[in-house]
Amino acid sequence: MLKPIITTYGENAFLLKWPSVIDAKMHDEILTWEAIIASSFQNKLYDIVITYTEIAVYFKSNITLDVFSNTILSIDLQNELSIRQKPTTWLIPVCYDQELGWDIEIVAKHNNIATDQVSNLHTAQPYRVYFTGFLPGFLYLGGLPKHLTTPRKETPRLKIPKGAVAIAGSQTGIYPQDSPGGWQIIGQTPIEMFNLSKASPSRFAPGDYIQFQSISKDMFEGISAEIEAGMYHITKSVHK
Amino acid sequence: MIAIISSGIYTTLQDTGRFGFRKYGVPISGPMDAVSANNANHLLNNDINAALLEFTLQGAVLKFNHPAIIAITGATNSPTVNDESISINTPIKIAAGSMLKIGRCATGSFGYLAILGGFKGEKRLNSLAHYKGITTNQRILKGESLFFSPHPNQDVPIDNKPTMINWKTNEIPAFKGPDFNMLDSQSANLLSASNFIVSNEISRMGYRIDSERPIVAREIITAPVQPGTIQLTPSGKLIALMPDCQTTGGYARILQLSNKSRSILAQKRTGEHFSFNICD
Repeated sequence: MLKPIITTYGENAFLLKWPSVIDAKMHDEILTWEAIIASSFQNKLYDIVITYTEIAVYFKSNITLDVFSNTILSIDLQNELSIRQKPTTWLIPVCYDQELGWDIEIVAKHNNIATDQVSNLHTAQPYRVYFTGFLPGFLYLGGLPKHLTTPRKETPRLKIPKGAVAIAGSQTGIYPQDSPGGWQIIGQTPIEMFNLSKASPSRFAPGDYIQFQSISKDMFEGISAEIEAGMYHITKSVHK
Repeated sequence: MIAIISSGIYTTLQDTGRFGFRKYGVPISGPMDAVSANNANHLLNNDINAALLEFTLQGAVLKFNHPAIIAITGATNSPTVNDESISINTPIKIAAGSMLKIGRCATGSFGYLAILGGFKGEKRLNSLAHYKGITTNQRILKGESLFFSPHPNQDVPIDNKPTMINWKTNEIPAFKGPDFNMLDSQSANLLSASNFIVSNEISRMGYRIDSERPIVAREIITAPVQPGTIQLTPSGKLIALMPDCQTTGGYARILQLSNKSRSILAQKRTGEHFSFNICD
């Protein structure tokens, strides 16, 4: 495994950096390092934030760079490769009707494809969850097909609805709450991406995968009602 | 109980913050001027995490239905109880039925009101700190009631002294940030030598800072950021991140402020000038 460059990051925090390349295999290694840091320092930590190529480690009190570096670099990584749990693939139902996918024609036109090809291409493969950021519960997903890339809107909308599935450049994402934004909206999911009433408010972890599935407007309404009644169970499987 | 007669310009409940949820993209929040907020709790022998009120520029008017012991710190300097002036940076006994007017901030932007035992309320994700989408309200509203546990032993603590910081300093110490080395030598020199001006785009998420001479850096792959991170946008504006900032960002992180430096910058108003004193 590639060893990171470790530096201090303000008071009581450290940053681990790997080469700036978005890559699933390297991200898997970063997740192993995250698990090692979490198990080495446990309740001495406030937070660990991982992104594509970095980990920020926020401590509750002062610890020197030497102690931190020596602790994690002295661990025999070969024994730690199994420290992570197996990633999950989550099935996320999305209604791609124009009634909810306001910009689906813009995305189709920009890429010279038929409108129904947008949902076909968007559901054709799982997307890797790299990390959560931007908004509580907003997942940074990797793997958008080249023929769906579309620039942001020139003028952002004041309100993108909760559950909107959208595209910006080569990124795709799901809005966890109503929010202003310039992303192109191609559909909407009834699934709750962030739930304050749960001990861990998001079920999606870095390294997991999201598989979108096209549903009708009727099914969208049906699933919404089941979620409201607390009767809906999201479909998940162990990622292969 | 305390009734909010007037909420002031922008008043929030804060504690040390919402820790443990940054991996879900939840900001930590907490006081803009952590030094002054800690002082207020320290003066009362409160836990450092006790919830207090943060005022912005113009404070609230509060009616106390129960006796309390309070401490006011930060950028408030003309508070009154029943129209008589009271001191700041010291514990004050408040009788039941009193009307406390925090008043305006003559210098600085953020003031704090701590109460013996701390304010009570419903914690969301382990914190009372107001934040849109996490707490029911985003800030304190007129007509709202605030609750605290009147302390059985109503003696005023006398021994604690506040840590004073000088907001008027126009030289702010800063560490080099994770992306400092992306700057060419001319930009790095400008960062030490230039004067910076607080713009009018300021919020609890961050302050946009104008520079007198253009400094630029390219964007980075989205990476962790925290309160006190100074980002540089491709258009040459600096953004000083504050407690309600996002957990990750895509602008170059050229500097990092300590809590103390961030507290000094938070108290600066639109149009104020300053420079950075950069250290390793």
